[in-house]
Amino acid sequence: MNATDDRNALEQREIEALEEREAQAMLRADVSTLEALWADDLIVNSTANLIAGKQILLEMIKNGRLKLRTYERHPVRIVPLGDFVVATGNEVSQLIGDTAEFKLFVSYMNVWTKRDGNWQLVARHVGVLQRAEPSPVR
Amino acid sequence: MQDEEEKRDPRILVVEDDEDAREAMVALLQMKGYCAVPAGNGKEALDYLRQAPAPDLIILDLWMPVMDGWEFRTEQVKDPRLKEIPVIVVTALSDRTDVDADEVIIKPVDVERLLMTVSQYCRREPTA
Repeated sequence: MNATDDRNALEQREIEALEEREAQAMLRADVSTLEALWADDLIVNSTANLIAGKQILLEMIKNGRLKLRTYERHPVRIVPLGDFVVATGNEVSQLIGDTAEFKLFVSYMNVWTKRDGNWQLVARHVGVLQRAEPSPVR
Repeated sequence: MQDEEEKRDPRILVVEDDEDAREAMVALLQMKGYCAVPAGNGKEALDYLRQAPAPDLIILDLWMPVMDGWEFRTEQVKDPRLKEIPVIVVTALSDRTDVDADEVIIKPVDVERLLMTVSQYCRREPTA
């Protein structure tokens, strides 16, 4: 194993841990952790086909407009690409709406980069794999 | 002194068959202080418009079951009470010449652009 392989393996482990940390922060609506993990110029293309930035997403979480009962993330592949690391995988979540809860199976791609020594999420794309029938809010 | 009609939050009808997109757009607009009302297709939208006060704006998807966005526009402009309501079409179509609307926003929808465009068509700033 050469130095590049060592660095790639280290980055993969770091991103794997960050992927889990960010998913947990989403589940707990932990805005301060998300603020640190998300780049100010983060761009997200959601399952609703809405392209949103950091501030509007944080506002939706703070206002309870983006609320999760469960959230599991399973990275399938994490690949360093120059200054970026791309993580792809699937997620299962239970979203809490105003009148119903929705179980959603998605595939995702997250792009991380290091800024001022810290990894930050700079881009995310989510596509629906399957959506279960809505159930009443618990 | 403002009357009740002037004081109310701007009302927006969101016509979109995709539940995820419709709920997200309604939640976003409500968070920004608009009174957003959902409809799942053109027919539901017309039924709402014919029994409720006219909204300030309609956000309209094109490809929908039951009654699509093109059919809805045809019916809307036939009705003197509805024809002046501005319409923002949101569509995956890249050919805008096929679309009759005040504005066209291509999907995926940039939230910042949507909110900016919405604010141009609603009579006053929402309360939020």
